[in-house]
Amino acid sequence: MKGKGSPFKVREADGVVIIEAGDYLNSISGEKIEEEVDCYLKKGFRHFLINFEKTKILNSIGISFLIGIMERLRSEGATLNFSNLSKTQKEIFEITGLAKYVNIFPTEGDAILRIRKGFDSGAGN
Amino acid sequence: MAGSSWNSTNREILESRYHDLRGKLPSHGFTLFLGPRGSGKTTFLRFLSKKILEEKEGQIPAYLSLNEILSGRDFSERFAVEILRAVSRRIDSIPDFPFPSDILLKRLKDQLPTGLGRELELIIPAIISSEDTKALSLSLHLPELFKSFGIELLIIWDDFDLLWKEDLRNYAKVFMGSFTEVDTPPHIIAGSWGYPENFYMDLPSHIKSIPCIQWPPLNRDETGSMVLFMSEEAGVKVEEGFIPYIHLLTEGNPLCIHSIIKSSSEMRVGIESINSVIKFYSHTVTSGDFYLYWKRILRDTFSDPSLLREVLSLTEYLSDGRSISLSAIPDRFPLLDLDKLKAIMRMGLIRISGENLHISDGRLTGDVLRGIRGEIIERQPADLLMMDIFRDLTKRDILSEAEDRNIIISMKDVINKMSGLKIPRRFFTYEDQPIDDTVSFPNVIFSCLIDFEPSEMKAHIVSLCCDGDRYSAENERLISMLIVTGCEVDVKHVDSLLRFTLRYAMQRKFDLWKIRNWIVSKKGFSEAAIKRINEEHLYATDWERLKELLKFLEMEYIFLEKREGKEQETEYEIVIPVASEAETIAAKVAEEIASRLEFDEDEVQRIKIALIEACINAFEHAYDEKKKVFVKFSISDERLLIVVRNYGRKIDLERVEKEVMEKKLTGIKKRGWGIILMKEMMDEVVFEDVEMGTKLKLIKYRRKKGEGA
Repeated sequence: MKGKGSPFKVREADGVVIIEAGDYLNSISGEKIEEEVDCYLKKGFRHFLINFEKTKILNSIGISFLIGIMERLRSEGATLNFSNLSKTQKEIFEITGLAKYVNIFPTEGDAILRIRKGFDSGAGN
Repeated sequence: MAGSSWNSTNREILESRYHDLRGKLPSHGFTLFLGPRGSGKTTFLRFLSKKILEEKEGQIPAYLSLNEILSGRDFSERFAVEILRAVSRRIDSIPDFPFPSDILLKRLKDQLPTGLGRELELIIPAIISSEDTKALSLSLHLPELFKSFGIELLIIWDDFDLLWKEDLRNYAKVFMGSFTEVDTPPHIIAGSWGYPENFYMDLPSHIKSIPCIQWPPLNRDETGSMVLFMSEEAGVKVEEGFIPYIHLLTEGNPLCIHSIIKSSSEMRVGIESINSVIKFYSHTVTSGDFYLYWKRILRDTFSDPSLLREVLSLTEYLSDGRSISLSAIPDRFPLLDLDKLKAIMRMGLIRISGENLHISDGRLTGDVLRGIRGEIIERQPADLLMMDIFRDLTKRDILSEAEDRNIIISMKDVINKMSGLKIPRRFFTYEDQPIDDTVSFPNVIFSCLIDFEPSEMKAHIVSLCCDGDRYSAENERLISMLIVTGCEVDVKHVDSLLRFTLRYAMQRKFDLWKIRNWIVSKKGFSEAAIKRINEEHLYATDWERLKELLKFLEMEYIFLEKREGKEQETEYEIVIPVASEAETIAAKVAEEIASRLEFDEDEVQRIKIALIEACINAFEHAYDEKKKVFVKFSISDERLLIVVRNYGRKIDLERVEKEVMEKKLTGIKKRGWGIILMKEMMDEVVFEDVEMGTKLKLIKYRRKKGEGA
């Protein structure tokens, strides 16, 4: 959490922007993730993966940011993918309806593999 | 519809029906679509909504399924979201996604006509901050608001009959009120007839008297998609009493109603055609469905089980082609007087020829009836009883709460202990004069209802327990018990128990005289309730009398004390400042406490998420200078209670809601899911408007390993 917890990190692999969400997804980290997504979107990336492995807690404002990100990516024809969700996180995304609009994978590896398959079949960027 | 696949024929039928209807919808007031379940109302209404969206630019169709909206909590928020989504579909190209209402409103505001956005900024927060019934009332004014800006908002209420469920009757009353406003903008409401007990009966008389046409035109080759369209512009009247009659006769049985419509060759639908269908189905069904429907109809008409039995015997007697003269009826069927016979004849099951009674159709044989009866009616009552219990327990998981289960089990022990004893009547009665006599409980089967909703004055049928093994046809008694712990018992609790017991007895062929209704109340009885209890000869026992009864029975009454045993609670309290991410401190403490209480990892996460939201909520409403929020954790054997409290000046809830909403609208994307998350993550969430601030209670019940969540 603040001061002690892990902040979010962004890296890129195989054309996929991978965002490791920090341990607390709230307005602050949500806004930063949104900025990063914007930035990579402008660079032409079309596949985004948020890895929740390190995320211990998320709040409703953080969720609102995720919804905003999802909306932005959909309008740009880009994809949003989640991985490493805990049972409760998955439940929350189902409650908020977000689960219907993002691809959810058990692990980061699964996600990248699946997204790459999409590339190979011409569905990717 | 006939099949589950969506093929071009279905679409053609819908197109054709839309074509027929277009232009017939009245420009004001309510249009009722009434039809049997499964007849395609929902399919058509969704299609109608889509077509209006495509073809009528000045109109916004808002399809609202009350079944969906009312299935969750936060009716008002869900309602607001659905309305705003409908507006979005008309004026915006955003993805059709259920964003929270504040976000939807923010994005729509600039695209709405000048002034409408501003108005919606006021009315939508008012809707979502209101009690549900008030929210519904406000929502009925939305079409008027839109109309004043030249937009027709056509609200299509599907599953409208759901409002007649017992716990939704308040909504129904709001609707009833709005029906009387004849100049109201158009609404379409749709419901299945026959399903709600009083749906038709509750409609105001001017609705009942409006003409009704059968729509669309009949076609025997089509299956499903039968809808009755009622409107002032329709020119065809149904016979008086059509709907109550069809309700009475079929109880919404789709087979019957569908055929009533199909069998009529003209636009006039009435009692004749209904009777013909009843006759038709009385011999063609191979399952016991019709027999059961029929039995229910008879039961409703002749609520005395003895009389019902006699009616059934008469029809069975007549079913083998036999007849009986009217003069012989009193000897053989002494309970059936002429009025009762006329009532049976009106149902189309029995006809009279000269002086003799016959069954209406010779093909309805005694073998069929007896076979069905043997198959369905005479099955082992204990099995049926246990099936009911199982259904109830899975429907509401209240029994997973250890304390409640304790009370039920303990009361079962009490009843068992009473069996065969003579008990002083004073433990059960509230009469002015003390009564010295005794009562006895031989061979008791125990049935139980419980109310654990302290915030609402209503008795829920939550659980049912009985000893099915002891159920026998000759020698049984039933104690139907309502235990109310959350509030004082009022008349409605008494009536609820009486209704439940009557229904239960009828279903199980339980003679009413064998039943004793007993209400046990922790918080006593209102005067009106006592009056009703005395009138109906119920047993009533408050907590103090129950303790005395337990002493009399030489039983421990520990289970009665548990709920009050606050001394057994352990409490921790922390104070957190209103500061960025301070809520995580509270969450950390919650994590530690919840882990010690052996909540599993997922439950710990849920508790943390709910508490985070509660703290954020408290931060927003902390108006005092010190800006502190107090979080208290109270642990008992049964549950973890977290109270989040802020102090400050008294909050004007309406003003705060408005301010919060304005803040949400003008700020970046903010919350909207907070309360929803809290409620989903915890077992109970209670907001309390207290002196000098607000208090929010989050409750998570502790469950033994192996018990479901």
